Amino acid sequence: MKIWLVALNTYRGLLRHRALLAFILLFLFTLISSLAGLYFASRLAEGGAGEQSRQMFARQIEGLTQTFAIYAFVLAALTAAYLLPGEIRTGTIVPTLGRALSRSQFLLGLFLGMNLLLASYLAMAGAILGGLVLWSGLPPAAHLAWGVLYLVLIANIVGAIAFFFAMRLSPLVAVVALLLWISLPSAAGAVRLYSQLWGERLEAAASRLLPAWDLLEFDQFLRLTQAPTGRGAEFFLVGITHGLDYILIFLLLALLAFRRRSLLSPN
Amino acid sequence: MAAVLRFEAVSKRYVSRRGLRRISVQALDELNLEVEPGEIFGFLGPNGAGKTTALHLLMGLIFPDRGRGTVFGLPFGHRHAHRRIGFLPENLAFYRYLTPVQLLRYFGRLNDVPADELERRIPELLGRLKLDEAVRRPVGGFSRGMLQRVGLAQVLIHDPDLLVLDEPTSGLDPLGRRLVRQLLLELKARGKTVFLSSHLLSEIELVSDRVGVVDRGRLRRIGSVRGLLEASQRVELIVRGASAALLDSLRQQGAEVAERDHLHRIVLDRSQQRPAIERLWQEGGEVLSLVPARSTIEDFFVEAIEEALPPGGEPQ
Repeated sequence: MKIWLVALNTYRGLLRHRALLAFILLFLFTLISSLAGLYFASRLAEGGAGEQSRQMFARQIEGLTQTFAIYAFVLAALTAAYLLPGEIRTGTIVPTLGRALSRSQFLLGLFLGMNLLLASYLAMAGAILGGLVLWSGLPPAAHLAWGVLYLVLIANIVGAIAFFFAMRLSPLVAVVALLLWISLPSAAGAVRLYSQLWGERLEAAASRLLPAWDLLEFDQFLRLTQAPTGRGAEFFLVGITHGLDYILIFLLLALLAFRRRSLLSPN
Repeated sequence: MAAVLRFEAVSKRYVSRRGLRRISVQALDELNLEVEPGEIFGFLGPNGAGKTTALHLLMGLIFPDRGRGTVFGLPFGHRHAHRRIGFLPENLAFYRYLTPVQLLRYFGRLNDVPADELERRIPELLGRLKLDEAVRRPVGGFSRGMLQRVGLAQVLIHDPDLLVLDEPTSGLDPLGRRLVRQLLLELKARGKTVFLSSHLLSEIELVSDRVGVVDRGRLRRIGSVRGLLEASQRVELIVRGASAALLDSLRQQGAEVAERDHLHRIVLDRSQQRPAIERLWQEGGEVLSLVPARSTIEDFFVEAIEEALPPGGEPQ
């Protein structure tokens, strides 16, 4: 109950944050800039190029979906990295933790507040993308549900990691560390193009730091132009379990780091 | 009777880095202190003495390096103890987008106050603290004085047994200060305990039962305000119709005499008080007031700090 109270208050505060306005502007800019392609595809359809236009429409929407997914991770990382340090810097944490509220309840409340913002974002992005899919006449694909689930899972992992690093170090370091960490597997792939040895070394390091990360292939399941490779129930189960492990481990580490953290700097 | 609040040899050192230099400040040095139930305890000390550190330790916002402390028998920072504590920090910061009603509802619910009780208490408190005209405005636009009133309201929202107040009259106008004094005395009459940290010695003197002076992290002196006032060696008389001969005679005996608007303010030793008043009456004069010399707490404070100074005068 108290976690929920903190979460609602956090959500309310996040909605009024100036940085969120910048994020919404970026979101709108991306949307408007891709509308030109969609408009061109619809004109093609009017010109009789039905199949060609549908393909083009699908690619445009797919690109937009992938971009919105990346934005979800950015939103989760920035929100989680700056939430608690912001509370400490402004001093709002002092009267709140003077209540019958444990530090764990407070931290989990912040995390849930971040998730409420993420849910609002996904609802908004989902409504826009759903509308575009309906407009394009593309058939709804069942695998998109898995894509959304993976997306939420990864955004939560990103949030939990950002919470931990922001607690131990600083919000900026948290965001940079997170970017490096998450991009490690794809960086390994890029390095492999130049050096097989170093690519393999980096891949080994990535799999040690992010075990089973490649099981969370959200981008495969957010495609409209081609169906993902057929996967068994075990694949999804193992992937989701690993995802939940990530969230739990980093949240637990963040909780432990926050438990004995001094909330005031000496003046 | 068991102490409500107890510091047992609590030490706290702040360490920070400036470039390659490591700067260390001993904020509290084996602080021992007990606050009894139902009393108003004035916690005094110069700037940087460790008062706010002690309050933050007691609220569990920071942790001691050595020693331990308890509130209602529970360790500092325990959330079950927080249910019975109302805390007013010196630097107030609230969620800027909340109105006073939303803020009090939030804090009240975090302290397990039932919803119907909250709906009754919130307008009552806002009215009492003269905030009823600002209930619809977010606190982000409030003045310092109004924020302080909201701070006092959030302290009282869950009807705590112990109030921990850091500079409660800071930013308040004279009417607000008087209101705080009245509130504190009402709370004391209801059996509540108040741990009050302030620079304003006159405020402390008006409401406190006991005072403690802390300097450089150590408790230097502790005493009851009534005891201090009774032990005062000098009294202040305001008189009308005193003859020049009487005033000269008192001056020769070491009294301070000042005239204003045909009244005389005479500060003299307690031993001179009775003969001086009797002579005044014989000469047809009258005594308008007789009080202990007002610098009592100030003297107590200054003496405590001076006693603690090392030879040479300046703190190390």
